[in-house]
Amino acid sequence: MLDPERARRLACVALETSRAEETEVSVSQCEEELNRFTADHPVQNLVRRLARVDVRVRVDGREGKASTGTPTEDAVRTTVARALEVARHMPAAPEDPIPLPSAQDGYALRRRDPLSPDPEHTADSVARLTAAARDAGCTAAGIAAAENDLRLIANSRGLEVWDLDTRARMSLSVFNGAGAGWSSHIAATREGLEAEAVAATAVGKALDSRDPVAIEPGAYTVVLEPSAVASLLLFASYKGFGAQQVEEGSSFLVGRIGDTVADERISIADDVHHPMAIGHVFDGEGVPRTSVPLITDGVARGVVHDRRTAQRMGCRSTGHALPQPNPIGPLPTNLVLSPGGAASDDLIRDVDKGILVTECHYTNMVEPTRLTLTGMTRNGTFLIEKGQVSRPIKNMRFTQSLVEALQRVSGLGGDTKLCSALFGGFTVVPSLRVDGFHFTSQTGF
Amino acid sequence: MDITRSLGADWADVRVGRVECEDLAVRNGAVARLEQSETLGFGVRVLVDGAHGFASGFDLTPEEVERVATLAISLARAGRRAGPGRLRWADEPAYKDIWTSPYLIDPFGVSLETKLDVLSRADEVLRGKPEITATSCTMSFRRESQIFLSSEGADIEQVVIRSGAGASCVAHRAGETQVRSYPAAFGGHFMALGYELVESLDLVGNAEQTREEAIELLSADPCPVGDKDIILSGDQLALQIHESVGHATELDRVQGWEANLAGTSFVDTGKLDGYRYGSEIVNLVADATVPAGLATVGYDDDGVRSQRWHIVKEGVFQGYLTSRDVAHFEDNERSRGCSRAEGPWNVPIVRISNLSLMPGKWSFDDLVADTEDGIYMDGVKCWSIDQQRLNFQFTCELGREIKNGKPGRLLKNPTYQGLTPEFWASCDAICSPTHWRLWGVPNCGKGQPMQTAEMSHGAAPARFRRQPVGVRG
Repeated sequence: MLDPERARRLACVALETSRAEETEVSVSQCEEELNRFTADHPVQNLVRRLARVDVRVRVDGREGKASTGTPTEDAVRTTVARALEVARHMPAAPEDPIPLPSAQDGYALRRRDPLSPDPEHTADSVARLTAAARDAGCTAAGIAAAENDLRLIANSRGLEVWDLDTRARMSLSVFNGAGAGWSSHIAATREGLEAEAVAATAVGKALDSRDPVAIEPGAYTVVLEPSAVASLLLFASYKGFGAQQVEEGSSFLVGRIGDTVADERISIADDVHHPMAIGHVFDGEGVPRTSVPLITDGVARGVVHDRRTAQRMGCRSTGHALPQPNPIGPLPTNLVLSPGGAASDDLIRDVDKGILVTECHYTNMVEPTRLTLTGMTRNGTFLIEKGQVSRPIKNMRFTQSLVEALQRVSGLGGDTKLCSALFGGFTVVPSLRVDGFHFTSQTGF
Repeated sequence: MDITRSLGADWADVRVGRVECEDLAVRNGAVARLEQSETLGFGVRVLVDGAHGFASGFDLTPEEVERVATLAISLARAGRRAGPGRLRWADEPAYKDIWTSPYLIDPFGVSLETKLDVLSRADEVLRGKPEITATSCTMSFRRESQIFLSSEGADIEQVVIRSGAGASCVAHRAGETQVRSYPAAFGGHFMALGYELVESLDLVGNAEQTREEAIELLSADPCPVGDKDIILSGDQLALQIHESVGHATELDRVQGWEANLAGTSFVDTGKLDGYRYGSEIVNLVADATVPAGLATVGYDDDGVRSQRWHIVKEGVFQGYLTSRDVAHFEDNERSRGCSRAEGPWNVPIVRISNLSLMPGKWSFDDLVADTEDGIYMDGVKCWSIDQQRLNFQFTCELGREIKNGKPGRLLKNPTYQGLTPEFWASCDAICSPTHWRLWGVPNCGKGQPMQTAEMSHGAAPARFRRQPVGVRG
């Protein structure tokens, strides 16, 4: 069992063993319980436990890094020796080496109580979800999961921080012939999960989306539910809001800081301290994550930095480094899109003809500078006519610039939700109404 | 094994493994990554009355082994509160064997200086023009060693070495950004070979052409919108195979086991009765024995010996990618051996095997000369496919217009859309074995929890008639 004390002991071993001028050690452990089910039975029921110790050293301006998945004192000593050997082979860094960060006080670390594996509780949750689908004449597939994520970072300049983040999740897909519905919930504890609401939403959408009809692709007003918004917005975190992307000229924010880049209703920040957010409150080098306004009232305000981009651009790190060294640069990992005041029904009520999208599938980026994205609708796509959801429609492919979509926002919901997406990441977002959203082809279901 | 037996497991297997990695990257003239890692772990999988349990750990102590094995049993027993145990296990002989992937040069025995020198020289060539704003030259090496034991008596030791390398650059001018990669995008080319793969790629010698193509793309015309004949390069076709045939024919996916994440498949088991997947020249072969394939192993993580079989033969669907727990869904007594896990700490799931489009008879020059109104598309840039693997859209790095049998202007962001069966039905020409090679996919994500696996897809350039190209708004 890896606990904070064991993590600290391993870090001490690394720091005591290293002969480098500077040494950083990162210890992480993840334990995940997951029950994956289809129809009326689990197909996988597991608990996996992973650990990793990373040691980064600097000797004569040369950096080396080595890692081990075996969190023992002997393995850590071997890893330190390997990191020193790697450093010996490295060329001296062309940039002035930045000293490792030292301890910074004055912010609250996130130390939640770990979620111990509880297979019976998890199985009972699954039973409730599948029963809800079965009672409605539908079939179900999904997961119920709980995860602990411990991370400790210490270095030879006296920094030592650790936190323990937790998350419980349930995700339910419900099928009814050609109809499909979906819902999910993520919370910090199992008790925070709203299983009944998840089941009711997924079953309701599956029943409502029976016998979908095809409509012509084209530009429509769309009401995107939070999960759909999240799957689009995540690409702005990968390819827009990081300082390195601005340096390289691939971000839509190049030369636009201070300009109006979105509808005035749009305010986006990166904020790990948001009450709904999950994640570590320090970055990959142990620097505290700060809340960073990215777009405020439609105006571009800034990007996130690590210590390297901050040094090059003459500002302070915002605490968004990935574990170093890393070629990707700093990234926001906790985007928050501020809600508006509209109820979801209000977003629909003003639409003469449009489309309600529950979820997007396999969204990917066609072009970075306009954040042109393509993907499919999924698990409940509905036509809106004269202010009401009128009928289910077959899924369609969209190809749409996110930058232009944010400029054509015509409504913002008040229903913020913590969401994940297919390729990972978490965001806190409301529903969004966008005019002139481009659907480019159809599929047969 | 003793603990699971004593606690009443009907089936149990244990995998103990070590994964060693080395990753190097030179970026914009500086070493951006040089990491070595090793991870040791173990996983215990059981079936109790048809219910599944799996647990893994990293402490190889007697106490932890007992905790993990007991937890696997507890998970299986508790899981039955959520529904009946319905898992059935296809039969397979219990092999005792040692298997190692062949290679010439141990990549972990090549000095770091040698590797960094190659990367630095390639990076220097890429940075040779002011339009280039970012470069990335990378190498990755993996050695996976694993022992597999099962309650049936299997005892299999395997060692697999995989290597990869590539170079790419980003060109930027006047608001336009383009990327070009060699020999493939997203980390380069990967195979189950040693350092000889890196030597064969000649990153330095190919860097100048890569750089010049990236710059040339800045002033290229956009991809036109309309219906065109398209000729796909081997690496793009590899991704097409992966997304529209590989994932579509994973039998766990067909059965809904992936429905909550990546989706299901249009290739339901009713299509085992002669479904036409493509034109008569389309032959797609799964092969876990092909030399240097990323999914080539002696045995899968169910202990099933590697096999070669047709997924599509002369255009007709033949069968699925299967593991021991889903084989019975296609009335097959034996698994196809596609069960793999990302390390012993993850549960095995059905993964795409090496899956290849068999070559045809055309020379590439003859194929271009035979095309009146087309676009040649090369280099993976963006991909997306729907949750039943029907509607797809791909964008490549580079397009070359073909008019009246002759290559014409360069096109940027070449994009094509399609529906899987119609697309494969439109395939009317495939280049010969001279043009055929294995392309690696080192980063296929699947499962909950998400796991990464690797596989190869063999392909030669091929032509598809009258496909929608460009982005229709």
